[in-house]
Amino acid sequence: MRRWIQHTVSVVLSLALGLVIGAFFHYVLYRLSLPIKPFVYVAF
Amino acid sequence: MIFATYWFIAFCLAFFPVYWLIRHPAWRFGWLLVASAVFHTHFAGPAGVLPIVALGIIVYFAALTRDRRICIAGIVICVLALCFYKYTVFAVTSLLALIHPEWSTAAATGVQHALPAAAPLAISFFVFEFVHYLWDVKNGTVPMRNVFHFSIFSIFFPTLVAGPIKRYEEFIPSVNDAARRVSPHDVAMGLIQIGFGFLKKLTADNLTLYIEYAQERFLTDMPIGTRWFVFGAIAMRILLDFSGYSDIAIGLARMMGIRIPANFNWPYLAVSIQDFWKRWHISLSTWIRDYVYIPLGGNRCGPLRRFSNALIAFALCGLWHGPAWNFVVWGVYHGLGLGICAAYRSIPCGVGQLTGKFFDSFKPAGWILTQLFVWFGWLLFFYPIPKAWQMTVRLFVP
Amino acid sequence: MKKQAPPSLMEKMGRFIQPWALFVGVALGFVGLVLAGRWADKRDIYAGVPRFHPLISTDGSVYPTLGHLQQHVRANASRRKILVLVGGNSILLGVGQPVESLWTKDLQKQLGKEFRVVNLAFRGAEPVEMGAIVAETLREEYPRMIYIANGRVDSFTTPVGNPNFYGYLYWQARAAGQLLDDAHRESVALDSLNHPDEKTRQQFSEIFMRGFVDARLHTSSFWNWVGQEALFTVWNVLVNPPQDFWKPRKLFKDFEPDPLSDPGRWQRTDLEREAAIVRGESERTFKDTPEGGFIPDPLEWTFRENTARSCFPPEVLPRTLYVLSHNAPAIVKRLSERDQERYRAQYSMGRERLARVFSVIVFGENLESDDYFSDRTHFTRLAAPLMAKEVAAKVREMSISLGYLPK
Repeated sequence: MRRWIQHTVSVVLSLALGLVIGAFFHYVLYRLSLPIKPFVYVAF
Repeated sequence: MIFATYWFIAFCLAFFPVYWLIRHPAWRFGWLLVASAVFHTHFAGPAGVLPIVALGIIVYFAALTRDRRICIAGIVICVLALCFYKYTVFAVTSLLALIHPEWSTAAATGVQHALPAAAPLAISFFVFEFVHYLWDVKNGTVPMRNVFHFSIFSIFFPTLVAGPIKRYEEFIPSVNDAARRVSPHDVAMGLIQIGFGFLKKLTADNLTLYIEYAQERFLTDMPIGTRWFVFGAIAMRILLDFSGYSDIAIGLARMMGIRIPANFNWPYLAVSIQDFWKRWHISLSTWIRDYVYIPLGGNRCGPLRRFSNALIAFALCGLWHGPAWNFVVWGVYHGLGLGICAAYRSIPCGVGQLTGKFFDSFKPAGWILTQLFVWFGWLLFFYPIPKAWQMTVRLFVP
Repeated sequence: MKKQAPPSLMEKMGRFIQPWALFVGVALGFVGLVLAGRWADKRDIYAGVPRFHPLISTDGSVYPTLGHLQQHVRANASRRKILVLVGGNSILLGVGQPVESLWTKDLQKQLGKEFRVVNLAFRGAEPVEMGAIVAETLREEYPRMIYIANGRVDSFTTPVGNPNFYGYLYWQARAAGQLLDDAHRESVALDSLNHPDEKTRQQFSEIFMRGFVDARLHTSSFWNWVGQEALFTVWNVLVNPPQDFWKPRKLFKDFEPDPLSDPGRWQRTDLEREAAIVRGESERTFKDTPEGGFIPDPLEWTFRENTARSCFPPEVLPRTLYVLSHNAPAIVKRLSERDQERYRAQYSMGRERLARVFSVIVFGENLESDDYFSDRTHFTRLAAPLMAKEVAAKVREMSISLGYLPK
């Protein structure tokens, strides 16, 4: 029983972590579109 | 950063599924080699690939001879190549600047025209791995007869650009194991580590933007509290940037089932300079220890010689980071710190013993002192020496 | 025997990880945000914004997506109206005009209810960038449309935009399949992707892939929405105070000050540098003669005319209005008499040559110093209604000739 609970918890946590990582990779793709240094035209 | 490009993401999307689906170890190995060659060619270009191929051929055949003198000759060729591409301008301008500063500027322009526009990508890392290989073979380890093994050791794409610096004795068996089997657990752990790596990298990018804005005001009207914040940001930026990159490289390798040792181990928890260098850029510090410090004599000499060995090793470590005097000074700074750390307990009249007991019983003191030492060192690393000094002073003077 | 290092944090975590559950989570998380991005792309996240001020444009690390810009137009302009889509650069953005005195507000008043004016100008944008792309992609939704752009006579460089700044929107629209077929532009795009210079080729391949990612995976759509509404995750020097960088951009207002409240502003301008720029522009297109005069360089002018024409698909040219605006008198008067004559000739020739490509007006011939910001190009709120009036007249004229309005 205890092993089953442990297994279920680890599946749920792994799924949750996966959701976070998947969302984060979506965010990484967005950040790749931004230059490291923005072109600040207004400074000119 | 090369990992933070769409090209690299597309490359991984094309590479990994095929790698995982291939069952035959030789084919899987071959696919990895082809992908690494494509990666290297894309980012280095033909001008960057050819010198590395030339050096690789020399190193491969030199190692096969297992002849001591040939291996040393190979090491010398690699080091000369590194010096030629990376340090020629620095050497010429620094030496001439001592004699005649105007000649120095003219010579720099002339030398730059003679050199290629840019050094071959990652030449510092290539040379360090080639030197490690030839030195170990010279000392009796078995060379890589299999040219494919040697090739993948040289151009393994996750670590090609900025390390960690690999050791072939651990790397090749790991590659062979991975060619036979990649477990889902490895892929999962690799993915997690890549996620952490990008999280650190993107945070470092934000810090970079902030630091660039703040450093203009650091020496003028910034409040002291904010200066200390910027000081901390500089230290955190380099840790997150570099360790983030290493995490991505190690994670990518792990997704192939290949184990690369950790390159950072919570360095800002170090309680002494020695402890710091066991936690920071571990692959580099162990390389410096094994291939510079120990060959110079290491700990086997008297205290004065030991101290000078440490200074030389760390000066070279600093210079490796870039062709500029502030890097050398940073290296020497750490060499001095290490020397003091190793020797302070020997200070006579009980002072050394008492100090040692204090640091042993009150660990936070050692931690604070170490971190301040390291973080002040970053000012030397990032800024010309006069500016680093001014910034240090302004941390205490409004 | 080597002492075993204690397990790292990763190794400890690894004992609890169920790989397949993690993979499913990654896939669901990623796909979930792609779908969320599709949803976000259909929202006007810039509601109530009369222009794209620095903190909602590239200066502020915001790269508005095609979808968001289209939604902004849809939210502000009914399809029953004649859409006047203002593109171009900071001059048409209204730098120098506080948002209450923005020239496009005057333009709307001048044109009346039959028209809807939407300002999609961006600082530093070329005539083919940003607003032009949105105009092209909305051509079927808004069959009655006039696109207004501005610049100098040599503001047309490439139809595919600058990969470093605003070119991204062209590549996004291309990946979304929303652009008109244009063989010349397509060949320029393919040439860019196969550019002989390695660095340029890599730049274009990155922006090509970025366009695909934005168009298909809606990454910028979602995270721009998050940044606008909830949390901005990129530090930017323009946010004041700096520690507010994380705040959603909707909380930041258009901070364009009124330069007229600063009577000493011209004293801080490097008038000689500005005059040198003006002089240089006309020297490129008018060559000196041995007799001491000057003549238009036929090759230069033909090149400029042909480049302007080839930068747009032919279908959009009839409904494009190009605004050439004069430089500040404080700058022009610093030129010699001869250079001033050459300067005026440049504008005449510019109007004549570019009028062969699209509709052109030249604005600002008789303005005063207070009509200008404190540089050679940007207009204050005093000039705003004057520009609106001249542009409105031309827009009405074009609307009649294009059949949008009865004669």
